[in-house]
Amino acid sequence: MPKAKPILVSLAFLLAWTLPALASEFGLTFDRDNRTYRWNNFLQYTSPAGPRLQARVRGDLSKVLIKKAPGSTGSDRWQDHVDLSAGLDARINDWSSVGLVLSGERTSLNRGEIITRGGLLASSLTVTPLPRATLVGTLGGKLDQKEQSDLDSREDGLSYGLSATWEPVISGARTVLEADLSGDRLSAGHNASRTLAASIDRPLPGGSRITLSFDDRLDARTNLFGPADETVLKRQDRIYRAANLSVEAPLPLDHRLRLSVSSSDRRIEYSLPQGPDQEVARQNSRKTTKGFSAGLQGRPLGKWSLSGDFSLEQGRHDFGRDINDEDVEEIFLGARVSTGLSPRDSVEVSGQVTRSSFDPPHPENFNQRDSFTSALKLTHSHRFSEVLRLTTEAVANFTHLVYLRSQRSANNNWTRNYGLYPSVRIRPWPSLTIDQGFGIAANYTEYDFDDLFTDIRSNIFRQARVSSDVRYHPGNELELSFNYTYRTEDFGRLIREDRWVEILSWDKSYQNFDLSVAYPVFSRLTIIPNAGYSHRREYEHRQGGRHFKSRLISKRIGLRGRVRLRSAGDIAFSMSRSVENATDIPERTFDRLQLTIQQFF
Amino acid sequence: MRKSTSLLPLPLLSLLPCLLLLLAAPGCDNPFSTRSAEEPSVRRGTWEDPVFYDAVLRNLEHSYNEQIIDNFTDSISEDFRFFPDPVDAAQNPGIFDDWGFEQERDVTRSIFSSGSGSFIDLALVDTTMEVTFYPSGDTVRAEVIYALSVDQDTVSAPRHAAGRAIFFVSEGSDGFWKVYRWEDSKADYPDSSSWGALKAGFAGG
Repeated sequence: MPKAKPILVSLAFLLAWTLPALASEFGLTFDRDNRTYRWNNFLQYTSPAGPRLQARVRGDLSKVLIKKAPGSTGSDRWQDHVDLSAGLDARINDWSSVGLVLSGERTSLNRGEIITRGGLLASSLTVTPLPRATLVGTLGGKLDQKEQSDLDSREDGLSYGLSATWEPVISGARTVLEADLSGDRLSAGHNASRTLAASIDRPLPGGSRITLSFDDRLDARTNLFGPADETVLKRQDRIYRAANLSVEAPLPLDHRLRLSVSSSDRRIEYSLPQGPDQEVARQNSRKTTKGFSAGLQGRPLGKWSLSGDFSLEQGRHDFGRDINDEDVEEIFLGARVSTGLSPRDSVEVSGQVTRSSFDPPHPENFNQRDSFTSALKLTHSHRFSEVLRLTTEAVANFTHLVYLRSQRSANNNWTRNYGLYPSVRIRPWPSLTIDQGFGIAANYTEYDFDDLFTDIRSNIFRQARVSSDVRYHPGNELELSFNYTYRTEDFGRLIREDRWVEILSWDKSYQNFDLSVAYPVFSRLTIIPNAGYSHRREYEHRQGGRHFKSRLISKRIGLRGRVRLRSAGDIAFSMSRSVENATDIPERTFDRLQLTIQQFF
Repeated sequence: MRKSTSLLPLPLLSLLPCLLLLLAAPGCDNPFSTRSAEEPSVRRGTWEDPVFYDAVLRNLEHSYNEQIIDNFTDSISEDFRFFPDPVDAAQNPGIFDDWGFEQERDVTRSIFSSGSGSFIDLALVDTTMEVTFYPSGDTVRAEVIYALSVDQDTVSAPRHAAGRAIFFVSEGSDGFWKVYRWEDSKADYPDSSSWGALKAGFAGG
């Protein structure tokens, strides 16, 4: 009987759907992914906006079932969730309104292993005392209940909230001031949230501009944490403070300069309800950062567009257990140049370098390290005609990871990554688009201290790929899509002698076909049958020969569709089956099913 | 329109970052250069280049058993997400909100530094993998049964965990595979603890 509940509730929703229109929207989704089943239903009603009153109702029901694995002695796992809410807003006059909200929710895990229930009845008052100023106060009663083996708990108490927002324009400066205080005071657990935020954005003479912002947020919760037999009532404070000052100024030749300084402090602190506790405080953590950044952008030579960015950030990560503490520094420089060489050609070049340093103060932490990364990217686009366009992208990325201490430095390495990716787009007719992509890439990983060890780990990985996409859209909802991809890769060890020598370890190749047709069966029903086939082969290289290692074949078939209902709404469905055959593994089948019903009233 | 006033008279200032980039080229003494390293005194631990998706899980298993955080962080991607068992999420409110790479790295580092010697024993068994092909690279959904023991008493956390993890692994442009999504599920027998419960213990729950 319990398993019939989602079906009964779904039927009730469907019944409501057929009744005279009262709801604004109704939705139902069913999804099956192998052993995981998900149901979700929701119903939402909002009354027509009246001069004084507006009402809204919303209900959600969701269930998740994870069926036990074949052969398992365990049981199926369930997650049930129901959430209902209703609200009423009444306008008193032009500058004030009151509201009432009633909500309840219930979550059950594994058929009652844990049941949580919550309820809220609250009223609110919204006042607009000044233009661009809003005050909102809420007050209500709240109930939280948890059933868990022999550890049941029931809490009730007060829920409150007070927020104020003021967005004045003072002497030409756009100012936003926000203050918010909200939370629950229940018999044992308390949640409190406090926000203070301010920002000022002021234009200066000469087209300059200055912006100052400040954030102070606190989220505190007192809860039972931990597994059922070891729960501890703890208070957790999440504190975030940040300040930022930035200045923008115009420069000659249509340039703009931006300078910014920032600081942030993020803390997670634990205590017992009766006060600080040394043992509990071992879980505390704190991350502080301060930074400076500068940016410049402009068009110094007419059609050339240039920009550059620099930033420096320093921080400290302070964990309750000192061994994990770290000082962090990061310096970044980037630049970008772009231009239209001719009406048919455009070029963009961008590059960046970054160095990050991590310094743990604890002598037993050996993770003191630097990381250097640089990247260069070149993009060229040429339009031969309205029918044919060629785009070429070239990239080069370099990374050097350096652990300073001998306990970790065996891992120090350079990685050098190069890639070239030309692509062609052909549109002989508006209804036909052909994208042809090519790519070659190589990744070299060279370990700094490989010479000291007998097992060589420096390596090279290479990849080449070709892909073809064809989309034919003759009209209405009829569309044919075809994709073919071929990819080949190889991997080998790199040995440093007089020059680099490669010893090939393996190679593999992939081929993939996908075909789908969107087809309107009749005016309200569109179906999209699709099929796919993939083939992968892997070969090992040893003893001077190339030996077959494994093969994997995947066949897929599926059907998607959408039915547009006579009234506003639709039904969408998707089902698929894929079958995999791999070397030395029994054939495997994966099924997926999804059904969505949505109705607007 | 108001005429803009320049604060700095230098033209072509946009080229300044380009000049700085040249300064940063390898070989010059510049703020981007890395420091010198000591010669290694120990190996990095058990590691195989994750050029096949199953190697990622073997590296992850070895990283736990040998407590080498770099081998663990090299097995998960920057956009990593962890999804706990709903029971763990209910028992540790707020702990798993927005759990990404940084949280995973910090907590795993705490787990690895909570004891000494061979105090961690992780076994990943009974793996089922499903491959999804994409032109840019493949994605694998690997379903794994795990058994984990962490013999430590510095933090109030389960010493034994067992359950099912679903790892979503993808291939990067360097040909190396990494985990980008991890869904945890406790074992389907009573009184079992999951990997997520262990993480929650070290994260403060």
